[in-house]
Amino acid sequence: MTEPDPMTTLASGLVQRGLGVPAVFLLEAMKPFSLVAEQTLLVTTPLAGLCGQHRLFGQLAHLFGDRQRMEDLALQVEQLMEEPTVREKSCEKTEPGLEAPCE
Amino acid sequence: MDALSITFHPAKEQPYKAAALGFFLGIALRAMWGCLEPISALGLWGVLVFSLRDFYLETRYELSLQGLCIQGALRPRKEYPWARFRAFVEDKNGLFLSPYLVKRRTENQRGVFLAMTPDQRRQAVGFCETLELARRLR
Repeated sequence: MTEPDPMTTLASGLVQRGLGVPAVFLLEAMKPFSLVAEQTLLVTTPLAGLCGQHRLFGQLAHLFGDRQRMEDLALQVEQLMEEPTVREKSCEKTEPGLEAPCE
Repeated sequence: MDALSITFHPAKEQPYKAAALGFFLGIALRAMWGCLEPISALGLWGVLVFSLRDFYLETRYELSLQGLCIQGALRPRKEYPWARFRAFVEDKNGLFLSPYLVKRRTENQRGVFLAMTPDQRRQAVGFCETLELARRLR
């Protein structure tokens, strides 16, 4: 069984908790400091290992290692944020009296 | 329509404003020269002039099926895929491309504003409609 992509899991977790907008804001704001964030996370990964969080820190360091990955995560979060909007719009287009295509 | 290239030069569109601004820049240089050391005055005046580069120099927008490319003198070339945008908003000064179908707080941070003339805006709107981006009111 293939393991789900950590970025997709992170994006869907953020959106489910209603943190989509702050996440996009912080990702955009953190872009200039991505190198500093990556190096800090790499340095603190052994300490995080004491708490059993080394995997999470490793994934975050991987995320901050490339600005394109940060942009991809922001795009994923935005896409997930927009999905309910698309569903609402298609419901609004339904004429009154007709059966709604979605609940 | 597979591609659209738009060149916008604000100083050419508004020559009186450009001349007035140039006159103000001359006064600012004279005032700084009188109050500060020549090096500091030139440095600060240079920063002021550089901040107005988008007004005095032309900007080119290239809209193609692959994405949007913005380039101009003294500014880095930027490319955006269309997957980033979902809606467009018409403005009297140009066109705003938004990544959201509804207005959100990070819209101005993530969206891209394309300054252009009304005629150029109509062309760009036509292109955005062929890409099936949603039209949105402010």
